[in-house]
Amino acid sequence: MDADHIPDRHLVTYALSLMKAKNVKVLIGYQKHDLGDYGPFGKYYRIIHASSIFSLMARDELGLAPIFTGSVGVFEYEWLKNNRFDDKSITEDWELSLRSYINGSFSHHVTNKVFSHCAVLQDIKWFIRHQIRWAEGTIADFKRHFVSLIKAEKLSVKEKIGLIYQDLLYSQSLVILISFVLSLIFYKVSTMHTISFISAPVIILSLISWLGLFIRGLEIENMKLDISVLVFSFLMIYIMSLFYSYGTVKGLILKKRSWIVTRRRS
Amino acid sequence: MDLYKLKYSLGYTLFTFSSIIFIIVFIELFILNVSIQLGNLTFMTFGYPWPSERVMAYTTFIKMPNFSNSDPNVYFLNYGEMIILSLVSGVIGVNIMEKNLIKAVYSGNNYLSIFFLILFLIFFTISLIAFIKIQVLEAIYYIDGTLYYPYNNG
Repeated sequence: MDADHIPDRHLVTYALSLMKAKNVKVLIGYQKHDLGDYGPFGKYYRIIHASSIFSLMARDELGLAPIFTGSVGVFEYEWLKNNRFDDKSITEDWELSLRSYINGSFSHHVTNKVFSHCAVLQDIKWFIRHQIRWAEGTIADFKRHFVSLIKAEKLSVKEKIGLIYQDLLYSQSLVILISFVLSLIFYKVSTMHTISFISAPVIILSLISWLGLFIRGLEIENMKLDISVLVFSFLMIYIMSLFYSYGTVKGLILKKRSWIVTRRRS
Repeated sequence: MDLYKLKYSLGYTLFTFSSIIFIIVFIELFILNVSIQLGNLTFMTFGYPWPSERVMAYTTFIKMPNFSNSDPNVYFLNYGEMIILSLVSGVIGVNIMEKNLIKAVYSGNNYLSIFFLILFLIFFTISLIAFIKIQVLEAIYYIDGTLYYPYNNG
């Protein structure tokens, strides 16, 4: 848990009994961003965290290697002592889960019932900085562990797919951006209609998945559908892709990384 | 003077109108006007294929000759540029709005309400005129004595 979190009253008892029942070493919980969730951005931030725990739970059921996203988590003491957080990484929670997946000790369970209340980020500027850090750290840690991830014998193919998906989550936007720029250049040279033939289903699929995750997020948080939040989240897809690309390039090229503490509305 | 309320309403207006423009342009560009060419076959949704040069010229926000009158077709703000501008201004609007929301709620100053109403009406009228100009007037045009409109574009 982070220092500014307010834990749920039953967090410890529920988490421990669940860990015993499932016989796992790591319990991945949920950060409920219900403090300062006013305005379109506040609600958007709350919903994306709800949809993120939903996708993690789904990946847990499908065996596609869900990761520990930083908070809330309960670890077995011996397990944490053996693995430890890496203080050189700027996304140490992701690095810990990747490393322990590779050495085969990450037995886990994901739930949204173990949660703590926390505050939304102060504004969009801090959100952008926070997301750049995640994009940068994710790709940098992937670079470090790529060979051992491919070679890892203890991991199943499904888990490897899940981890590689998580690795390349933020760098997708770089690929999309490059292909967008290339399509603009090639459009001038010749009319490439096949591009739209390929991209149209991709756009439709991603729209459906975006809407689906948005609705799941609303369901988890018991919120009503707000059109302004829906529109804002759609705008953010385009705006954030630029910053994700920047973070990915930064993570791929630069070796020096700096840690920032994100300001919140509390 | 209650600056927080002023900033809040500016942010709100910016976000609302940017998102309206974004939705209209997005639907026009990516849903209503998609065409796919496969050999001799052309698959189209509703309107004409975008972005062709002619359509781009007729969907500009402002069309005018330049100052020396040497070029009669100077185009300002086509759909592609407008969608990018509306994206950026929408997010900036939300940022301005939320920064001032709490302070605006807790300040009991109502003197400027009429000012905000007028501001809203001005923005609304400008957007309405722009909407009519782009969606209605610019979609119908003559070339060499033939009337072109969205479902009869030759």
